[in-house]
Amino acid sequence: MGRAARRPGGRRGQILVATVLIIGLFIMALLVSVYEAHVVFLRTRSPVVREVVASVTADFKRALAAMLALATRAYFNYTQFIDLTGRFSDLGLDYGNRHNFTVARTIALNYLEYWRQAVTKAYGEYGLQVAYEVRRLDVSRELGRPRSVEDLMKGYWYMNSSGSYAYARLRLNLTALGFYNWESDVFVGLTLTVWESGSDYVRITVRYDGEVAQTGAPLPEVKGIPYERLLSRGKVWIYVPEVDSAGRYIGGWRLASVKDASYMGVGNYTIKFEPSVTVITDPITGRSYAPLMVVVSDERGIIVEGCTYNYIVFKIRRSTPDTLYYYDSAGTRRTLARPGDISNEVYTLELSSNLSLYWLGMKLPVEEAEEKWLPPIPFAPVKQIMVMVSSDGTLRSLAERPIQYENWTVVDRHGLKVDWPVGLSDPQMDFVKGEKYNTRLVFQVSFPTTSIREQYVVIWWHDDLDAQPAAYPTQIKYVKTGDPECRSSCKDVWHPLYDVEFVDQEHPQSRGYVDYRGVAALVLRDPYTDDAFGPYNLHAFDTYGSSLGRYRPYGTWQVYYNYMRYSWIQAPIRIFAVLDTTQVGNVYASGDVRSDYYDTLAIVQIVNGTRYIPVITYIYWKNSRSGYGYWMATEMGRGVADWFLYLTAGLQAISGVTRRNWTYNSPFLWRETPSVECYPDPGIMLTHWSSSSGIGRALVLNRAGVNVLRSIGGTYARFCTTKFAPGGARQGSIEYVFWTHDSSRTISQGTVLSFWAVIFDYGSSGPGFLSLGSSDMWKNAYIYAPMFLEDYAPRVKP
Amino acid sequence: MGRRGGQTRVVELLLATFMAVAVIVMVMSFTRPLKSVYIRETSDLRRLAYNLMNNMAEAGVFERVVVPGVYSGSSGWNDTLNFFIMSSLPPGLVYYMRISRLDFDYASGTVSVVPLGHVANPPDFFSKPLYEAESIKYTYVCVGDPDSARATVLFIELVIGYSG
Repeated sequence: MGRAARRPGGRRGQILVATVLIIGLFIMALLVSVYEAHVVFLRTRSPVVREVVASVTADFKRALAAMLALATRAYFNYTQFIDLTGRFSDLGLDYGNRHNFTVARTIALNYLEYWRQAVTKAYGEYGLQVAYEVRRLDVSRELGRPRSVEDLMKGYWYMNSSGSYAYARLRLNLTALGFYNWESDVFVGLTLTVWESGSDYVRITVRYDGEVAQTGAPLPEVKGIPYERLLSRGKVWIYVPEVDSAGRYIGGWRLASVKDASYMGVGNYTIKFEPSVTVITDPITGRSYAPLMVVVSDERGIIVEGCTYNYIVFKIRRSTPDTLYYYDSAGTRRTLARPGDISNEVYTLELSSNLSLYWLGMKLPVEEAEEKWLPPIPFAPVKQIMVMVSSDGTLRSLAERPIQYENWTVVDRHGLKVDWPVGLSDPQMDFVKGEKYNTRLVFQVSFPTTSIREQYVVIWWHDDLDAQPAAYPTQIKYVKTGDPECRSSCKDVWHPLYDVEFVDQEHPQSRGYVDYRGVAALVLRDPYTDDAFGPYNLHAFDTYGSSLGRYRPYGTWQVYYNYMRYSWIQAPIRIFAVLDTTQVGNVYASGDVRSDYYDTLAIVQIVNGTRYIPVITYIYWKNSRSGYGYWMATEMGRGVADWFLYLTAGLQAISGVTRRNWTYNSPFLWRETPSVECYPDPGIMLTHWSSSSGIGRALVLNRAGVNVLRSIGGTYARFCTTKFAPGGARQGSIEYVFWTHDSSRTISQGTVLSFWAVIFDYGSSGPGFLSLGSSDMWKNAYIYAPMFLEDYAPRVKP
Repeated sequence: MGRRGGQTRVVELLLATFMAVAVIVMVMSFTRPLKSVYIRETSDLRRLAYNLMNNMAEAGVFERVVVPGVYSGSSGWNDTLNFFIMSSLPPGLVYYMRISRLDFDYASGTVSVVPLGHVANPPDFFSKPLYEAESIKYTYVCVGDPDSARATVLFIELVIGYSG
């Protein structure tokens, strides 16, 4: 094929090829241009995305920090930071809710929602869509114990290693910029670790925030970074225990003065303070420490409160004798060995915020040594404070036990200082030693066998600020008129062994029994049949015609049985009723109410898991009065009892002989005559029992009460039993009497009586009792009587 | 025969062209740009503005300067803030910053804007011609002292530009 052979149609083909090539080049150029535009678009928009994302994320972190600061500042000291906390009081974070992390959390969630709306509008031109997810985060590496952040924020305080944390995962889109599904872990936190404490220094480490890492564990975890700005932009407070004139801790805290603070690097600080404190020794570990509370805040206002110790430990030592002595009716000295099982020896103790322990209102002796003083309980809400008690005297048997929180004060009545309960505590309030009020922790220590002399008690506290007061099971219950359990009218406390019906102005008519016309007393009833055994009368004076005990305390019992804020939580250990009255009334005649006789303060405790009812009584005579008969305390019997016994005080001679704990002329069987049978020199115990049904009740009077009987009644003091009630029904009471109804004597104006009597329920056999015959049943009360006496009160061994 | 040969070449050329285009598209997809292109566009001003705001946030300028000024009535906060901003911006830039507070009304569920004040350089910012400018909006949750302002949300509008 030669050139000459080229045909005219071939040129048209070349033009076509050239056209196609040009079109192809044009398309390629167009594609390159589009690509360049694409690249330039990305290059120019990407910095804005980065900055907007960074801005929103940083602001979310600040919002989280602000809310954590609000929650922790309110928890630590609401009033000190009122400029912040007060702004959220309308939302529920008021002074009463300062220790309610749930309220603070709700406010934080609300706040974050409004913040979300605000940033959505502010960054609206970018099409910002923002959301966050509340997730869990493991902070165990921070605290050195298994803990996590959940529900947005958590606080773990009052321990050597404490922290405040908030965590959420932020999600955002910038729809206008084509940027979607950005996720970022946002964590704010502050961790305080107290390493070492001395008399005038404390060494701490402070960390904050940190990177959230997915380590393959179920939860992401975080390790904080050293906080190096504590001295320049943060704050630190040191609290030291208050001391009395002898330098002994008294339960309160005071702010120390920081004298020097030095930064040792990597978040470590040494803080020196004054006044110096006494270094004490942990009896379990032997570790020495100064009892301090350390509080730090970062510049964002997040607070952490730590403590140099995590628990307080001491021992309770029982002092009751395991071999008892008495004189039988013939005057022969006898011994009585307690059974090995003494499981009814259960002490209901109170640890006051002033670090005193009480039993039956009596301050317990402490075996003190300077290095073993009890340190104060941290400045924490009472809901976080718990107790463990051993069961066999060893640390191995320590277990959590029910605890009850009560508020007590001291009232001054005519110069007599009386410890007086004012109700169950608000569990969200601080466990503090106050000028007027003190919190008391009530718990029980039992000694199940005679081989156990000491039990460990460990007071400890939850570190979780979300901790709620525990609702422990209990067998006692308050039943009032209108409750479904009440068949007619009630003001009762139910107990497995007895129901106690409180009669008073509010509830004068005892069910199926007598109208007490406003006189305050308590009626013991059978818990199964509701039959009344008869009332316990606090006090009585004079006669009304032929009826005994005309003027008795008149008023209304105030019953404390639940926590006000947590009304569904019943008092787990004891329900107590208090009577504070200046009036006396007459059970035999309406309207015979006087205010010119004596004032009465009385505290009655119905105690779970025990067989005793303490009745603490204070009487003040406003005027001198004469009358036929004066009764200190009486317990009616409604004819149930067929045996009676009392023990002598040994304060007055009988037939020329003085003996303590002499079953003089008793026990004796019920008999119709004399109608009132009395014997001299009443001592610590009176009792009556039914041999047929195997139940008995004793009144154990403390030594102070026995002495008052003697000092007021003199040789006229008597144990009496009244055989019949006014209507002629069989009665069979047991009574402590200053003088009997057959003689008129005078009580002096200004006379003060302070005593307690314990109603003790016992059987003829069973756990914790000896197996005894009908005439010996009283011994099952006697083997427990010493625990209610001052001389045998338990002792505290720090 | 000759006509058929021309058609074949056309088809071959079309196929070659499409192959070349496909290769170029594939190469474009897998390669980065061969050169950096500096574009002084509005995005730089935005980036500058956000950087300025983030720096101020990290330095706590709002709590230290703005909050004492508007909450405690300390005088001269405008001058201090103006000095801080001007020292942070490159020469030749002018700005206008308006600061407001966002109030959350939890009862009504609304967010309201409460103006707190503004700073600008030059003071007659809006009377000057701008041949290039950009604005951003920024939120800032106060986290530093004092407690009276902690958790307050500030809403800041910032305009930065080149003045004629």
